[in-house]
Amino acid sequence: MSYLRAELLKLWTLPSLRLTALLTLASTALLRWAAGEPGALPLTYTRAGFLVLGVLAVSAEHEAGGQFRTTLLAMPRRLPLLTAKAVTLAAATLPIAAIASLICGTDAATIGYLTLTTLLSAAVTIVLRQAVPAVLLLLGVYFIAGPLLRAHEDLRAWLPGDPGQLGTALPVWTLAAGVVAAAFLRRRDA
Amino acid sequence: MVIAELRKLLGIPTAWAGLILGMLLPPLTVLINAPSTRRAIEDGSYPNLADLGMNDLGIGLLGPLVLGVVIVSSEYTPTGEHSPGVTQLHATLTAMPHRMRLLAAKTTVLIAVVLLQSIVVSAAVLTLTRVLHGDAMPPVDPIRLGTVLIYWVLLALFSYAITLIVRNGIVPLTLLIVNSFFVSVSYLLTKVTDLAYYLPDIAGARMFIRGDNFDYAMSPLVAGLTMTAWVVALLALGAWLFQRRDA
Repeated sequence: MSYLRAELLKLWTLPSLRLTALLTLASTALLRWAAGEPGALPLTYTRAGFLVLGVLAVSAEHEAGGQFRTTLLAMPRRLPLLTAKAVTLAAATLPIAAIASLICGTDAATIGYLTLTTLLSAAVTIVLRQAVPAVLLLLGVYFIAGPLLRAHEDLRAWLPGDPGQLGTALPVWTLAAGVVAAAFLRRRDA
Repeated sequence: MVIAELRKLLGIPTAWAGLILGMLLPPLTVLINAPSTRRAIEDGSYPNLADLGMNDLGIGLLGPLVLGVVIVSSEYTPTGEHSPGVTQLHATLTAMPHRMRLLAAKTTVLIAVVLLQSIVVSAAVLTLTRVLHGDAMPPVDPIRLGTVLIYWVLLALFSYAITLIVRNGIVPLTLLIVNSFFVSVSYLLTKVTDLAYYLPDIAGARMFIRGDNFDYAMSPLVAGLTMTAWVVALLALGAWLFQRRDA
């Protein structure tokens, strides 16, 4: 329980996360107004905000000053730490995703899609540790490789897809990234 | 000074990611799309044959975009674990205190690297398209090819200027990637107001893309001037802020 409380406190007090969430919701509302009709279209753009949210939640600990080492000093068991991080990040993202989904008038699958996007980004950043390369990689997959490969029928099932329809690919990718992140977190020096 | 900036830029792994992605993605796209492009040419559904080859260059713009961002954002990374708050920019300014000269050196390096990259990429893509699709491709117009190179450089300067203003790599990277590689937000805004046709990304691409699904007519010259005006304005703001703000 103390793990969860500590992680939640860290997430809550990061100004960059609040700013990202605010900007994401504001631009979702703006695009929803520009689109003129309910639907997941605005979220195909603003899912980038959820992606950045996941990246920043992790990369903040790896900035100069080495907060991550302090974290490990307080909570040395790495897998429970990872679990606490995942649970708190999901809990923090859910309401933001729910508001975004409400703005666009979409169903619960969208909330799942956005939350999983944040978790996937966090897992990738645990491995990469730096924000800019992680953002570049994730945006590359979501916004460049995705649309580029979508034309090919046999590859489509492997892509994260659109916020409108949550397939099996994104949960599987998130789980896989989580396992890789766990392996890295356990084996690598802080 | 210029040499120092060049060595610094080429020492950043993310810059290499931008260089390599920018060079590899367009030819790769041509190859991946070759079958569907050929079918579209045969049944006449290809939107505008004048854009054959030019369309596939767009994805390479990731390169100049990333280069423009990291040449500035790398200066704001902390130098060491034990000195939070001290960034590479402090060391840079100690060596080169004259800020406008420093910016001039950075800009020169960025333009040179992106120009070289765009020449290599457009040569590769146009040759590949010629080999794959042969006569369907119109002869290359040197002036139009020139506008492609100018667009690449302008886009690099655009992301460079934004990064100078916000002093952070994530914001420009997110904004620009999301907006350039999709049905862009700017395109959505053109549905709301005609003014959106003068946004930099919409105007800029019309320097060299001919067949377009826009209702609003704009000549390549006006498009180029619009894009240049955006870049000059943002660059001026960025330079002014860089001059005035503490490192």
